[in-house]
Amino acid sequence: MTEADLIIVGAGPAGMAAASTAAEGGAGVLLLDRQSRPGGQAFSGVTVNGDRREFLGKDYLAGRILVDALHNSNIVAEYGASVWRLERGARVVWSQNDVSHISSAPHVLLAGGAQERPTPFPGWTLPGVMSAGAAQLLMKNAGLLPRDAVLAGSGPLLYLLAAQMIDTGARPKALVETQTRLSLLKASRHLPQALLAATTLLKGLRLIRRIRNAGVPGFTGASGFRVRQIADGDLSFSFNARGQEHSFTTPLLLTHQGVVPSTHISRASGVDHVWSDAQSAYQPVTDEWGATNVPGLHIAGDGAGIGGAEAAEAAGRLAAFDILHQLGRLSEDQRNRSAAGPRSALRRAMAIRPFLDAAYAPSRELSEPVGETIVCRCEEVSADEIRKSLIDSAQGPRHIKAATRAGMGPCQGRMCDLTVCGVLASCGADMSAPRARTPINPVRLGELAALAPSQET
Amino acid sequence: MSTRSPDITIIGGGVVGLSLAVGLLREGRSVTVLDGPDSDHRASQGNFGLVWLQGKGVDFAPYAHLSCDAVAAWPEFASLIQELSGTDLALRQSGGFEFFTDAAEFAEFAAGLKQQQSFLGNRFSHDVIQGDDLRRSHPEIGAGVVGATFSAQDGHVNPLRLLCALRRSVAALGGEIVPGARVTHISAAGPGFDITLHSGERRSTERVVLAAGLGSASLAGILGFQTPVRPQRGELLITEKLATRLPFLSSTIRQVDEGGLQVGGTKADAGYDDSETLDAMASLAQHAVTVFPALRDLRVIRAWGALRVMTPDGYPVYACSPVHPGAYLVTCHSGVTLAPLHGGPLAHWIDNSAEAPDLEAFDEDRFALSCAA
Amino acid sequence: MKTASRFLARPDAGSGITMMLDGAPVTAPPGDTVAAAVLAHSGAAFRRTEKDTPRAAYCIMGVCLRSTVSRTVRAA
Ligand SMILES: Cc1cc2nc3c(=O)[nH]c(=O)nc-3n(C[C@H](O)[C@H](O)[C@H](O)COP(=O)(O)OP(=O)(O)OC[C@H]3O[C@@H](n4cnc5c(N)ncnc54)[C@H](O)[C@@H]3O)c2cc1C
Ligand code: FES
Repeated sequence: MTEADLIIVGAGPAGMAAASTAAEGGAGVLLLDRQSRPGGQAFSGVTVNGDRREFLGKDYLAGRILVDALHNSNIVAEYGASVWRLERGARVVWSQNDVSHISSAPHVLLAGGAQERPTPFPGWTLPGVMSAGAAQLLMKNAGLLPRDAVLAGSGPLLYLLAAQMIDTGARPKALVETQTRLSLLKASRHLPQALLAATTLLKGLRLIRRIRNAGVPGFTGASGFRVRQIADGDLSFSFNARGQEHSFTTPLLLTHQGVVPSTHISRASGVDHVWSDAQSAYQPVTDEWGATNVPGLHIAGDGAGIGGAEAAEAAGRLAAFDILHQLGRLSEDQRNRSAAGPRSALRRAMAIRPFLDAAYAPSRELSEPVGETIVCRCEEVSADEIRKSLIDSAQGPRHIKAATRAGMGPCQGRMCDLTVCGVLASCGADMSAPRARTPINPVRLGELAALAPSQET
Repeated sequence: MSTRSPDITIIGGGVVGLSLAVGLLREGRSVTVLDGPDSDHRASQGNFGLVWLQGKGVDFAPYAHLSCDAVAAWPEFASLIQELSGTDLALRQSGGFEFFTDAAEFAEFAAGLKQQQSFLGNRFSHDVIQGDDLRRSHPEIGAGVVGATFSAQDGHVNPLRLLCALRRSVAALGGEIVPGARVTHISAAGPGFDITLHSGERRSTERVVLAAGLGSASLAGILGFQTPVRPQRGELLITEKLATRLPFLSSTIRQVDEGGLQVGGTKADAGYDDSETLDAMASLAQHAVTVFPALRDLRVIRAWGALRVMTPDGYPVYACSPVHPGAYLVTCHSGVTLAPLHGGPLAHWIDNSAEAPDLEAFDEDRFALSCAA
Repeated sequence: MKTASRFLARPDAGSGITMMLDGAPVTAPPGDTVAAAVLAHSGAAFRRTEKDTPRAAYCIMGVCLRSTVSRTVRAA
């Protein structure tokens, strides 16, 4: 059993910043991450690729600074370490190379980040349909450049990905966006506030200009997504836009609808969650330091609510200051004074969120699918099956799971919970956050058995 | 909403209430089932799906007979439900093992089966198998298993599909199921009852059956019943799907028809806390790899806890209210195994028909007697 | 028939580890995940589901937990 003052789950911007801040404040930190090196999703692979892949931009290289700060004797970092359970009393159960360990500390910080929102539409399970985030990871980590890809959905990540593809000579075949001019117009009332984050806004505008200048055909207000397989593994992707039906043939359709907090672990740990209308997602309830209703448990970064890398870094530092305070290493006054810098950074970084959330709100059609569209990829459950199961029994997530198996697959609902909720909501039913259970990641029976107190004789 | 009040209102839409509804509907009664919200504890959504005879009623002959009747009636009940609902229940009564890793427990269980045998005579058959003999016929069994018992009458179903299929069957027979209808109060009203729902809505009924699992606890007293039901937590594991079939069925390890393995069997008094615990997860895993070492590399994808509905002695309670004629309490553990009984003889009993069985032994007055003694 | 990769050929692919994919040798740089190595060479389905529909890698982040190939390729 490893002892530390603080165990941090996730080595993305929030986790890395919290680790170095806490360590510099004198706390012993155990940093755990499932990936084989630090960086998280935003800076994935930054330690190995940092100086090679220019197309990834300056922001990406900024991750290096966070990684370098992890060289601190107060930090023990374990990679390839997947946390699969939090116990009451701040014990963290994690698995590395098929062996599970239990580490305890008075404080735990969850910094597990975000995941992409599911984008279900007819045909989305076909080979060749991938998430935009997946394509970006493959570019970052493996240098794999999408071939003649069509980008579809909504959200700033699509612009970033398109621009990176253009820079590397892998120009997308088309950019098909679901958001309408109307939603942009509505979102514009948040613009004055967003000006606080003017650099981010300008960056976004530059990306859009670059995509247009490269001559990538663009569509907005697109709907009626459907895709089918044609010859040679190619896909035919069709949609409606500008009152007309369009269709592209492509080997690779990259879809995206924004990101949402990854709440599996926080839900399984007894943290209270609420539905956020603004972000159309469940969020853990935290205070201004990231503390939750579970004693000793903080959450920082995208896992607490989407804000992006800069916001995550600031939130990680805030949580670390609060934990240092609770450890008796900072007085309340010192904590509050130290917090001033990160708090204004957080405010700046978050200023643009209301605009982005409104402008790129998920499309209703993709959030509340109908008909044969697969909702649960693991168990192959369609929207129709879910709707039919609601006829004569309790209308809520537990019932849907028991009646249709949606959410019972290997991913335990990570890929379908939100869609199930969307379908439920469209039927006027209960929207309480679905229960999550452990293990958070699959664990071998033999590995689990090794944790039993005594061997059976 | 029906304007005419139903002959019988069943409070609770778990396997017990729904099985009973099927039985009463087939008797020609009009039936309404009131069921609670999605957040309710439901043993019917978290159980192990065994249709099991071994060890049932080793010190209470009436329960041994009841379970034996139910197990024998399962094939016919399953085809009825499958026909009404169009749902395959995956009933397999292929025989099942109880595995033991502790010699004393093994001996004790075997002695219990002997007793059960003495109650049931040739209606029950079982084998007691020593570890080494077992490994000769089942080389996959681990060295840590000291012995096993086997009964060819034991089997299992898919419990989630059973629940769904019962719902569909009730609908197919013209019964009404009202979801999200938590009953907060019941009062006797002339010849009948007034039922108040959480929403404030009121319904009237001629007769009322309380079959609300753990929810019965708060309503039983109002109707003059005194059985205290309590929760007992059981924990289970489920693994990823296996392409091959497990070569045996046991009371603690079974393969669901979709392919995953369920490992279960813990018992804990933890109030209404249905969390999964690390200790139970680890000990279930250890049991699985002790019994069948080749399972070592199979991955567990979920663990969960569910609450058993327990009467003081663990046996069913079938009781009519001594104070309010027309009110019944039906509660039991092993509601899956007993489903055919609830969907047949018990319905006759409530309906007071000529075929009504004698269920005297299951009245709740047995608790009053044991208290007085 | 072989389905072409949905990604452009990697310029830096040259040296690395050789493994067999559907009976043919393919080369991958060290540190590549198997999923990436396969995607670089083939656009075909990784597996078929119980309902017999074809599937390939989708999220790469371990969310869908369905990239059945997830081991890291290490230099021999
Ligand atoms: C871990 C575990 C393993 C088990 N394994 C087996 C097994 O292998 N074989 C077997 O035969 N049995 C097994 N059982 C037992 C079996 O699951 C139960 O006997 C059976 O499900 C009980 O059904 P029920 O309808 O009484 O209760 P429940 O399934 O709990 O249903 C009660 C219903 O009543 C409703 N309700 C409650 N209060 C109210 C109210 N006030 N108003 C309206 N509705 C209300 C609820 O919403 C719920 O739907 C197991 C149980 C557990 C927990
Ligand atoms: S997508 Fe539903 S459980 Fe994985």
